[in-house]
Amino acid sequence: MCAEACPASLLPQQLFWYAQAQDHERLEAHNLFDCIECGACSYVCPSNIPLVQYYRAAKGEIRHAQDEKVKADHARERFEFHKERIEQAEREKEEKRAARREAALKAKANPPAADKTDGASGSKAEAKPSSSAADIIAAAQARAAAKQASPEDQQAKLERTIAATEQRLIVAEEKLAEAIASDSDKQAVFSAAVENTRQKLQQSKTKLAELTA
Amino acid sequence: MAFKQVTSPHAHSAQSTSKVMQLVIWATVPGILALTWQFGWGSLINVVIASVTALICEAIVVKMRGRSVAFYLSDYSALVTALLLALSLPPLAPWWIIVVGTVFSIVVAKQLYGGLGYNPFNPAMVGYVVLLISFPIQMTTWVAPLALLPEGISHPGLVESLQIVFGSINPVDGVTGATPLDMFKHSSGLLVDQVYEREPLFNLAMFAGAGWEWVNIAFLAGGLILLSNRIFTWHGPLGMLGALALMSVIFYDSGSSTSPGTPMMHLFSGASMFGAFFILTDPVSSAVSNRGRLIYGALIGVLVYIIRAWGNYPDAVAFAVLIANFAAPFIDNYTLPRTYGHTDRRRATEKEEG
Ligand code: SF4
Repeated sequence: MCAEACPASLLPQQLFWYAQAQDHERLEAHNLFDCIECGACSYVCPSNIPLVQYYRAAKGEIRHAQDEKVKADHARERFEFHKERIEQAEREKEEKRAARREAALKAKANPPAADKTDGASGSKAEAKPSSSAADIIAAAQARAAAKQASPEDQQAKLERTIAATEQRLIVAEEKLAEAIASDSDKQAVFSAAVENTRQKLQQSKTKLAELTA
Repeated sequence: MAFKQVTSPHAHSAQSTSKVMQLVIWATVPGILALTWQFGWGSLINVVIASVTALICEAIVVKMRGRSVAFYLSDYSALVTALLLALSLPPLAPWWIIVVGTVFSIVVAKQLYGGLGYNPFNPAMVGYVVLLISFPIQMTTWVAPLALLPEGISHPGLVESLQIVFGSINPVDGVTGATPLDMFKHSSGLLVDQVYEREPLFNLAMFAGAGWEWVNIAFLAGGLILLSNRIFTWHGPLGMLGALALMSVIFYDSGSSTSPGTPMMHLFSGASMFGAFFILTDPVSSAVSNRGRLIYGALIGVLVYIIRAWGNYPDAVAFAVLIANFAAPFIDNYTLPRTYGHTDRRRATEKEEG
């Protein structure tokens, strides 16, 4: 009777059934949202079922569920992006760690003699050219440090040394050029310093090459 | 000040379940009269026994379910179920047959599923099928129609009928006889014309078997009353009768000896009209949309014919209706009407199918 009464050609009986069961998919497949809530079905219902109330409640539930779904989707997207970022960072760290571990393995594979030369040249790289006593102490410290230090550390230190020595070389060359320009008598001292620094740089570089080879 | 919020509608039609059921009961009156005229007091006794049993069962179950007994009894639905069952049982059947069938209909097929509106199967037909399977002999002994009674014998009177029903005496020989559908089932080897000539059941009739045609015409009239009161739409009955007619025309086989019978006989004997207008129009267990009802009716018509012609039971409305009840939710899923403003019909299962 209700199906004949419905101006939208819906099936109120089925809608009622699925509204009670809260079967949202079926309700939408039965075009619940085309119900104009006119109440004709309820008017003719011999059992006086308050159909429109059920439909309105079901529509509300469906809308609510959709809103919730949008919210949940948004939250999930954000969460996934966050996770992705953390993972990216983790991966980069892990790559670095792996590279260092590999270097260490290689260093271990090399004979201890290499270690000694390492220590010696490392001390020279660290050493200051001006004072010989300080030079000796620094050399000893550097040797001890080099022995304790892990290969990665050694490499890092060498790299730092190279960078610093390069910087010093540039400064020394500038000073030498200044001295030449002003025809200073310190020319010889400066040129010796330049030569010294250059040598040190050379040594550090070969050592690094050995270490990374 | 807060107003009470009430959704539309703000008025109700006077049509209520009890009114609808009362109308159905009135519409069976021509059928009951025809049955009583043609087959004696048996049908009326069936109706009384079944009604009393149904009301008692309904009251007990409703009470056990903790609902209001008066409310549920006053919707007359139990009475309608009892009536439909009683009219499909053979007159002068033993009383316990009627009681068992009614108890099963009301308690198992209706109330155990949740009461009116929740039963997936037509309760009266469930009761009928249970009886037919459990007590085939009692269920297939029909009383002979008025025109066929032997000379000097008439249908037993009211008191005598009651005695027969309650088992104290046996019916006189010749009071019981075959139904037209039985007759055709067991007349292999004879042409349809020969059957018609030979059997008084047919040659005393107008077109479909003595007595039976009157009963069917009466039920047809009752059904038309319901139809004009818009208790149901024409789709279900037309689907069934159309399919039944079509099947019997196709397989009529121009009256050969293996023919399952004439179309007229199929339409107007057995429970055809009764089934078409009173059984398959049950709004609870049938399909819900008009197109669905047409298919549902046609399915029943085809099944009725198949079981009558090639099955083991002479009549088949009950089985066909139950099978179609099974199929009704499936039919519903694929026969949603086109909603106003939409260009296509939809399917209820479209989401699940992906
Ligand atoms: S209230 Fe909705 S379902 Fe009921 S008749 Fe109106 S449009 Fe149809």
